[in-house]
Amino acid sequence: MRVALLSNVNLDLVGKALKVPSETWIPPGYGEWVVLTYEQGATALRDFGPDQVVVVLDGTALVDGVADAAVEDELGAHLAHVARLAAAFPHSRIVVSTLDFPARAIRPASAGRPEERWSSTWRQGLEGLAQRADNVHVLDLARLVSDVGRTGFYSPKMWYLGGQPYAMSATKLVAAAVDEALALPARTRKKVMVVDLDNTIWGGVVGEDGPAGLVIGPSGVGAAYRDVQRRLKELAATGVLLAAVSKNEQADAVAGLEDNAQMVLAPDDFVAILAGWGPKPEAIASLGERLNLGLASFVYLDDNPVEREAVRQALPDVTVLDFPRDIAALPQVVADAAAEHFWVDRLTAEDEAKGDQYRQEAARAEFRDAAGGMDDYLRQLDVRITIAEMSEAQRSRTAQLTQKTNQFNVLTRRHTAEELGRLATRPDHHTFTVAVTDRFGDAGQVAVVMVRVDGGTAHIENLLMSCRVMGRAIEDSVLAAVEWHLAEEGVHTVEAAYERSDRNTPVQDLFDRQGYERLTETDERVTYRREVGAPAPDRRDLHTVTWATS
Amino acid sequence: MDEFLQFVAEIFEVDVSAISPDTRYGEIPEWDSLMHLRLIGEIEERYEVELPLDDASDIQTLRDFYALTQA
Repeated sequence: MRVALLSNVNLDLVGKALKVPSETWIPPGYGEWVVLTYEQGATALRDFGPDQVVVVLDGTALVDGVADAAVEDELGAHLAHVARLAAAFPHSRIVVSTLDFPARAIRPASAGRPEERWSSTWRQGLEGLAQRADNVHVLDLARLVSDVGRTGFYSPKMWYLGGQPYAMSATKLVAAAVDEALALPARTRKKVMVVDLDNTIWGGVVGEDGPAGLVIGPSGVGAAYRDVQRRLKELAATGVLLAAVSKNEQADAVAGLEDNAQMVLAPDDFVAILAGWGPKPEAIASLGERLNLGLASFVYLDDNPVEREAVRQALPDVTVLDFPRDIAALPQVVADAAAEHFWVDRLTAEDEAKGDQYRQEAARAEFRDAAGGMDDYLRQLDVRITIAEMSEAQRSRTAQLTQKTNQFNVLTRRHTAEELGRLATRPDHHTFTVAVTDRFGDAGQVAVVMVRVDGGTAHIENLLMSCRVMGRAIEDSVLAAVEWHLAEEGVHTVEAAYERSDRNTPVQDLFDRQGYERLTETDERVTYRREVGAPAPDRRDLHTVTWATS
Repeated sequence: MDEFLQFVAEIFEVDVSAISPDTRYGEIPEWDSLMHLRLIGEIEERYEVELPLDDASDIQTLRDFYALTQA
């Protein structure tokens, strides 16, 4: 990964300590970052070709010599520099720091602390910019400083000697924070938070104490449980699926949530409440099957060490959280798990509707049990597929799909939104997005097909679909439609490949079923070819496909 | 002193034979202004000392550095 590190102070030591970048570029002469945001000054940065540009700014140095009354304007000007940089490098991820401002001058107490206001002015401006510009991301340096404490963070001596504001130890912390920010896009987000109920999200045992006897409320130990539930509800609002696995009667488990007015979480906040007396690993494994999600996307929270160990042993893919000895620390355990396992940059419409979609999936399963033949069932679902060339607005969701999809993914090629934007400018490249609705609801964008056209031959360079819509022969309709679409451009042959990963066995014979011929074959990789229009006896044609013009 | 030189050599990423107590700031390519800053930071951490600004500014040789760690 190629990373440019820009700053208004000396960041050479931070740059030296970075581990994530394969190559780090720091412009010669610190404080020169503003010049690079102008077209005339950007040549060197452009030549370097950064995948990511990190801008770490020191608040004090940024407004040095600027009168208090003029600082807000100065910050506005610097935000404009950042915005210009982001626009000049639309295909690079631009990571910009928040600003910390220690008190910079001796003033009477009545003058207040304008520095605190400046810090939030910058933060608001930056967050606004990150919402408008897809490639701008925030690195919370101000929070790092406040977590560490200013006294240990800054070193006046290093500043006077070498133009670096941080103490040696803080240099390493800044580098670690930058590394973490750089690595975020490659991280796979987990999808399901499974919690135990008794003594985990409330105090007490609902089957013995009754719903009204549970410990949860505005004060004392009850407040700790209330805060745990608040964090879990916030987590669910970011698209994480919440599930409960509890040794209880089903009616008691639901009553615990329903019949105590202090509960923050309601039964509807959970995609599933699995209560029973069987082993918990079995309940969790069956939940994975019901949701059609791999267990590696599950995180588990339980106060009982025996249950935690049982899950660890039986389901090594599941991430089991350590339960704190002191219940006061439990809300933070959930918050830390959110940062470590469920970090998300920005929410897509799909994330916000996700809980609903999985509840619809449960309704579909009931319908499937009632329906006759599988194909009849699929036809009755009234699946409508819309395919389109990826628009700019779809980049974020498309990138997310490439990063999160593991099972239905023939090549497992991950892309960032910035890379997709770059590919979109190539005339020989198509990124097709696939959206699906059915009679139960709108699943949104669920699949991606990336194709490179070389004369009469098209190469499928990525093909993946969300596991939410697997098993409905949607891929049959999509591939057929894409092949014919390419044929209109003069393509007569389509080449494809399957590359084995830990998780993608569900699609190991996908191309065989689609009428593709095997060309070469090893354990890791199979390559295929198909003449457009050749017979494909196993391919099913069950759904309506529409091409959207953007 | 030997242990100190070994420590410095590791930071410089040179063989210990390449430096001596009389090695001067700027004399070998590894010891530039950036390395000087880092050396101060690393030595303070390792030897749990605070090098005052004016002393740090006066450092010319590794022997000067060593003297400050012994204060």
